[in-house]
Amino acid sequence: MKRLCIGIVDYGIGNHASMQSTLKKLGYATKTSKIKAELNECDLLVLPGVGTFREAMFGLNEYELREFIQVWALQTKPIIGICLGMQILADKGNEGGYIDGLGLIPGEVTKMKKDNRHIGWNEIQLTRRDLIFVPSEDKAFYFNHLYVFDTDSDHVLATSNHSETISSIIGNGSVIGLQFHPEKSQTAGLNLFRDSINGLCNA
Amino acid sequence: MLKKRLIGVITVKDGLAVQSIGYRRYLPLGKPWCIAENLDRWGADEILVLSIDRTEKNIGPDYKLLSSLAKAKLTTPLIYGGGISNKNEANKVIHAGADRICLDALLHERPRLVREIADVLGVQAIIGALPLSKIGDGVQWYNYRTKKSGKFTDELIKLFSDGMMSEALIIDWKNEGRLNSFDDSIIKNVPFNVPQIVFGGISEQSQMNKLLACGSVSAISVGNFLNYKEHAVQKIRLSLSKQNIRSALFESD
Amino acid sequence: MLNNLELKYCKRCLYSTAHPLGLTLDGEGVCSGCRIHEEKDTLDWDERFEKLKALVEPYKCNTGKNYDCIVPVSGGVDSYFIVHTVKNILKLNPLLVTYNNYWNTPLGIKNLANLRIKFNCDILYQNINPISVKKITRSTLRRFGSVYWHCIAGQTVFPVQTSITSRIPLIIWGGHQGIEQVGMFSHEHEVEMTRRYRKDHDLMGFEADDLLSIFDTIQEEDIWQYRYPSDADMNEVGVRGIYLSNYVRWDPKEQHETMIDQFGYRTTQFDRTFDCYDFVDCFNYMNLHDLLKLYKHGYSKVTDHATREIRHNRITRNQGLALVKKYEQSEIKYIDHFCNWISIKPHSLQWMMDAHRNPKYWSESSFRKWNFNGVSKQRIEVGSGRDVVDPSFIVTDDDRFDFTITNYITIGKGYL
Repeated sequence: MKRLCIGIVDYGIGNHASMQSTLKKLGYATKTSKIKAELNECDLLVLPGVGTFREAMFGLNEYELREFIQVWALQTKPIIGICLGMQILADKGNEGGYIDGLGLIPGEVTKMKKDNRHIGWNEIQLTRRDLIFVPSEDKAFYFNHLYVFDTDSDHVLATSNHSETISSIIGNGSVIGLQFHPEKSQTAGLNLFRDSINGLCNA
Repeated sequence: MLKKRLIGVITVKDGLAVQSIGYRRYLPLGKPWCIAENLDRWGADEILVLSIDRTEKNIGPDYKLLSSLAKAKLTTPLIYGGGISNKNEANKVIHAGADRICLDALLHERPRLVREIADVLGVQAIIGALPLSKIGDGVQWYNYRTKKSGKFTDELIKLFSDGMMSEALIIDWKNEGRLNSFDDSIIKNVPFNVPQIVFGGISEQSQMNKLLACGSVSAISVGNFLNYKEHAVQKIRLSLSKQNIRSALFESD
Repeated sequence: MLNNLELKYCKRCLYSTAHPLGLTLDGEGVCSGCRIHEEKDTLDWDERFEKLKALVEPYKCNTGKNYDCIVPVSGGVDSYFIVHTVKNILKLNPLLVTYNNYWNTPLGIKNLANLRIKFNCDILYQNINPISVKKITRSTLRRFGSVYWHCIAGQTVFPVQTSITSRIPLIIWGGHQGIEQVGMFSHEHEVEMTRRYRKDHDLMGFEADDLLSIFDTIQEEDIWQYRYPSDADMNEVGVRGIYLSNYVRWDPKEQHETMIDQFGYRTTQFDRTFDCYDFVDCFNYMNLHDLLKLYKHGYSKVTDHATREIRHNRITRNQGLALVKKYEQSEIKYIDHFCNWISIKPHSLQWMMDAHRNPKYWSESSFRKWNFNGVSKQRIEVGSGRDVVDPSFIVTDDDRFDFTITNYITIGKGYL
């Protein structure tokens, strides 16, 4: 069976080196690129995330990747958005003014109430018994964000308890969003990342 | 429930990981990537790498160090501090493998640039380092380059209060490297309300219990002392089993 | 090399900041190794020994069904002093373990036999199959200019594996090289054995699995024996490795001389150093291995020995430099033995070695002719380097190693 190739979308910001080394550690081939032709050859796209909604969408627009990703999703090809990469899947982000997101998972990104931060390790509780995530139930993962994804319960797969309930895993068809960093959550993260990639690619 | 964190600190000078004692004495430890890889296996919650001579020498962030850390294939969040002076460098540091950055000199010299970096990376990725000591009734921050302490300026207070950094790294610089000596009075006198990562002379269970019980403290950092015994991180976790931190992990392969 | 700056030198000893373990200088230009050495004269060693006694007490096996501790030994270095301290002074019942590095001298075999007999101890030998050891050595020589990787890997992991399989948690080592050479820790830090130190320093950043590569012939079956046990196993048994040098005022020359006198430890002379005590058990340590050190790091073992003696105030720095200059360029021996063993021709061996000459210290003036500009050459501020003294080391076996040996003794019959 051919090794899966994961395309890490480069839109100017993001922790590419971390993402690449984790995916290689898991045994996948990787390609970090902003060039559509190169990303097209991949089996799954990862949207990495360290930055702001504004910077991310600016980068996607500048490299003309917004439509590319939307078409990819329409073709029911798999996408995993991580942290900021999950948040830009929304319809809109509110970062001192509304900015359009990719609109792949309905919902809106807003600041946490009372200026709270969600930084550190927290457990996830499944709200749907999705077979991909069952092995990861109640395991702790690393979160690092101030903004949250507000969506309806149909699209929430797992939550975490904090000052408010956080949507930790969301999904819509072949698109999944992880609010935490699986590439930085040690063994639990590696396992969940592998389960997600294999689960989406074999579906 | 969100856990409080145990952070492993690696101090780097001239590309060599060192034990740092009181901000003036340094003993060689080894290759930073080797120590980071070890902390990763032990299950530290974050790894903080501080390259302490970069700003002083005006040579920018240590990308070579970051490259060696990336090769170690760490699966633990990495925080890098040392020599970051503008948003391009901050961005490049994240590209090179860090997940968050730590700023010291820039907070005082060019606070406007801190705001620019926050716009690009997001506040959650930025930690402000504050070496502090008790002077008179209050605390003053220590400029490690001029070796002088100073009062908090309004601009510095505003930078933190405006939420430009997600956490403050409070360093008891005088007691760094000395067992059981962190002066917890310094955390009570900080003139703004930002979650605190404490560092410097924290070695004993009793100290850690007391610090973790403080509402303002989000994480405890330990540097030198993690190099003395096998499974140092796990041993700390086992001794703090009643606290809200992750449990000890012993890898089985 | 880790340091990005130009070389700087210690004002007291012969080390530079390019030391492979890392070395720092303080505001007065004195190195971390010299500073920590000062503790040998300021700490209360009686008090520290009491601490050691209290530390080992809970490990005594009162049922008589198991050993109290493991002591890694060889036919050289500090083994006699360690076993003497453990058995006779701490009154522990040790299991000795030894890793066969293959290049055993007759003197080393005699010392090891004498050790177990005089101290009346049980001993476990580990011998890894020669095909794997040769493959590993060929690879480590080619890739990082080391023939000693398998020796150090085996010596540092076999005791730990034995600790787990035999369920004897305490391992007692002698001197901590990082402390003794570069002051990596204070004696008061009471540093213990860690997997990190072994990978970082003993194994130059390469553990067993790191040797596997698509560009090499080494397979898992060759290296699995050198793997460190898992954290889970280490924790389950409670494995703990301590260093006597944190609790005893460590002075190898003095210690060895007591062991020669009281227990018949045997010594010999070397061409590349004045110390006659340390590496008498190996054909290659003070020869091929030492020359590779000179190629890679610009200094060799005689500098370590001289620095040690300078710090113990038995010779001056100038005398130390003179000894270094006298010994460090000596020819090496037993190359044919090594080449036969590893199936490489001598000129191929030289070619592989030359690839690891550090350009900071070596320049090729003409084909295969090299100029040396190592650490000793650069220390002109130290003095003329001509004051050669006799550092008074006791030689018991003047005929060195047996010149009639044509092959290494893998397993020797030890008798007195």
